[in-house]
Amino acid sequence: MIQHFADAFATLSQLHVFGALLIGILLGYFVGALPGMTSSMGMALLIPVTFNMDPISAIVMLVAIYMAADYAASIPAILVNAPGQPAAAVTALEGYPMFQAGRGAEALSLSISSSAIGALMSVVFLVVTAQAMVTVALSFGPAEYFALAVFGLSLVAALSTGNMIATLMGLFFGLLVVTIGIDRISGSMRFVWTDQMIDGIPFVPAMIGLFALSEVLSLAERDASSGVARIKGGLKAVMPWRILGKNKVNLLRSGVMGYVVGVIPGAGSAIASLVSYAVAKRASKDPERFGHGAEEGLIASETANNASVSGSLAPMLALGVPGSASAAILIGALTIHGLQPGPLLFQRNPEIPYAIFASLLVGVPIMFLLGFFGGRLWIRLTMIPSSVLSAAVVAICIVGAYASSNSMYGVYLAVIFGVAGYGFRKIGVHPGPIVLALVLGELLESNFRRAVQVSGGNYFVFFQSPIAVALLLVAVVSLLAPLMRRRVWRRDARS
Amino acid sequence: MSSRRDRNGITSSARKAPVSDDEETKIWHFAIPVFLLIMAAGFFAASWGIDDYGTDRVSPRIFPRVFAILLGGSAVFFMLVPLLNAGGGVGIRGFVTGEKRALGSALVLFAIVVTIFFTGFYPATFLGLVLLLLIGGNRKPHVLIGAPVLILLFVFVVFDSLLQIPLPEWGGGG
Repeated sequence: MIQHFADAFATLSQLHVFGALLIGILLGYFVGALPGMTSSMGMALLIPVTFNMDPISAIVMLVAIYMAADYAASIPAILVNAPGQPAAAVTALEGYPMFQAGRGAEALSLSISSSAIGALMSVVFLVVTAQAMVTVALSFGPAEYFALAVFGLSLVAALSTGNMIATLMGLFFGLLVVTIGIDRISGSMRFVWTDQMIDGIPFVPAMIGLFALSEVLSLAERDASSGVARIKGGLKAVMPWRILGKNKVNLLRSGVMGYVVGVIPGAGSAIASLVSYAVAKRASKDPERFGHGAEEGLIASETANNASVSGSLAPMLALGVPGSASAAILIGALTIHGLQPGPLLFQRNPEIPYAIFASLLVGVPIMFLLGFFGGRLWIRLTMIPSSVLSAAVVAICIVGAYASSNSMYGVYLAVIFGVAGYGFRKIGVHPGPIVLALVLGELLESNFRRAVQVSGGNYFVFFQSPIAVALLLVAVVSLLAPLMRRRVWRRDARS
Repeated sequence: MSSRRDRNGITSSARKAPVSDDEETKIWHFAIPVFLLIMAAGFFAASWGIDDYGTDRVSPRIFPRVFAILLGGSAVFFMLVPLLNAGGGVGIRGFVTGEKRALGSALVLFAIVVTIFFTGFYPATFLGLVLLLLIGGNRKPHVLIGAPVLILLFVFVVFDSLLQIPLPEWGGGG
C-alpha cells in the first residue's frame, strides 16, 4: 500500500498530471460557481476533453472537477441565494442570511474551511474503507453482484426526494434503454435499428443530454438573468479559527455522516448535507438560530457535502457501483479509457485508485487556497447571465457529443436525451436515477443471468449466499420504508 | 402587455416569476407517462424480434420484457393516481410562458442538428446560439452577435486547435 502511494505521488508530481489536477480544480470552481451548473453536468461536458489524455490524467482531472465543483456550489448559494446544486441549498439556508447580515466573508471562509476539513477527513476514510470493501468484494460472485445492483437501485428509488412513482419510471426508463444493443451473454441483437446501435446507447452523449442539455432547457424557462451579489462588509479572507474550534464535534460528526451517506449508492451529497444539518440543529444548544445565519448549520452542511464526495468514490472503486450521479460519470470515463471499476481495478491497475487518493490529498489544500484567497474572482462568475451561459453550454455539448462517437449519431442522441431529461425534470425526476439505472442495468441483468446459468437453472441461488440475502432484504426494506412512513403520516393526520 | 428592457437587454416579461408547480406541471404529468407507455409497448412488442438461440437458461428477451412491463405499469399508475385522488376529472393545463421558451429552445437544438448537416458546425451553431439568446430575452445586438462569436472562438481555440477534437462538418462528416 505504501509503495502504491509512493508511486501515486511520484505520478502526481509529473507536470502533465499535476497540470490536469490544477485545471480540474479551476474548472470545478468555474462550474460550481455558476448558478445552475452542477458537478455532474460539468463532468459530463468535459469527458470528451479527456479523450486524448492518458487515463491517470483524465481521471485525476475529473475527480478534481467533482471535488471543487461540490465546494464552489456554495459560493452562489451564500452570495445570491442561488445554490449551484441541490446540496448547496442547505448551505444557502444559513450562508445567505449571514451574507445579508454583512458576514459574507465569514460565511465564505467557514464554508471553504469546513469543506476542506470534511474532504480531508473523508479521504482518510476512503483509503481505509475502500481497501476493506475490496477484500469483501473479491469474494463476490454473480449472485452477490446482482443483489448489490438491486440494493443500489432500491436506494435510488427510496431516497428520491420527489414522487416515488415518477422516480421509478425514471429508473425503468434507464433500465429499458440499457438493454438496447448486442446482448453480451447470448450475442443476440436487441432493439438494434441502425448499425450504430449495436454497441448500445453510448454513455457520453446520454450524460451530456441528461445533465447538460436538459439543464439548458430548464434554465430557458427560468428568469433570464442571474443575480448580482452586493457585497456588504467586504470579502477579506479571515480564517475563522475560533468558530471552527467551537465546532470540533460538529465537524467530526458531519464528516463521518457525510462519508457514510456518500457510500450509499444513490444517496449523494444533497442527502448528506440535509441529514448532517438536521442532526446539527438537533444537537445545538440554540436551535432557534438555525435559518437565521447559524454557523453550526453552515459547517455541518459543507463538511458533510464534501465528505460525501470521497464516500461516493468508495463503492465506485471497490465494487463498480456508483455512490452518486457524478461517480456514475466517473465509471463511464474509466470505461472509455478501457478500465473496469471494481475490486479487480485494485489488482490490475492499482495506479488508478491510488492516483485518485493522492490527487484528493494534494487537491484539497489547493482547493482551499483557491477558495480562500480567490473569493472575489469566483463571485464574478455569478454575474454571467444564464442565457449566455446556456448558449456556451449548447456549443460545448455539440462538440462533446460529436467527439464521443466521431459522428452526428452522438449529437442526435444527446439532443434526444436532453429533451427526455427535461421532460423527466418536469415530473420531478432528476437525471440521477436514470443515470444510475444506465450504469447498474447491465450489472443487474448480466449477473442475474450468469448466476442462474452457473447454478444450472437454480433460481434460488440468490438466497443461498448470506451477503446476497442481506442485500436483497435491505433492498426490500428500503423500498417499503417510504410507503410505511407515508401510511403512518396519513394515520397520524387522520387522528 | 408592456415589457421593459433592463441594462442587459432582458425584457421584464422574461423576468416574470414562474407560476407554482401545481399549475405548470399538469400537462407534463399526462404527456410524459403517455410517451413512456407508448415506448414500453413498442419495446415489449419488439422483444419478440430478439433472437433466442436457446443456449441460455434466461432468455435475452426476458429482461427487456420485464423492464417494459414495469415502465408501462408505473406510467399507468402515475397517470391514475391524480384521477383517483381527485375522484375523476382532472383538468390538463397547457404550457406556461417559461415552458414555451424551453420548448422553443428544444426546437432550436433540433434545428442546429439538422442545419449542421447542410452548413457544418460553425454557421449552424452560430445561428442556433443567436436564436437561443433571443429566446432567452436578449435583444441587444452586441450580446446577440458578440456572445456567439466569443463562444465559437473559444471552441475553435480550445477544442479545435489546442485539443484537436474533431468538429462536425457539413454532410455529417468530421
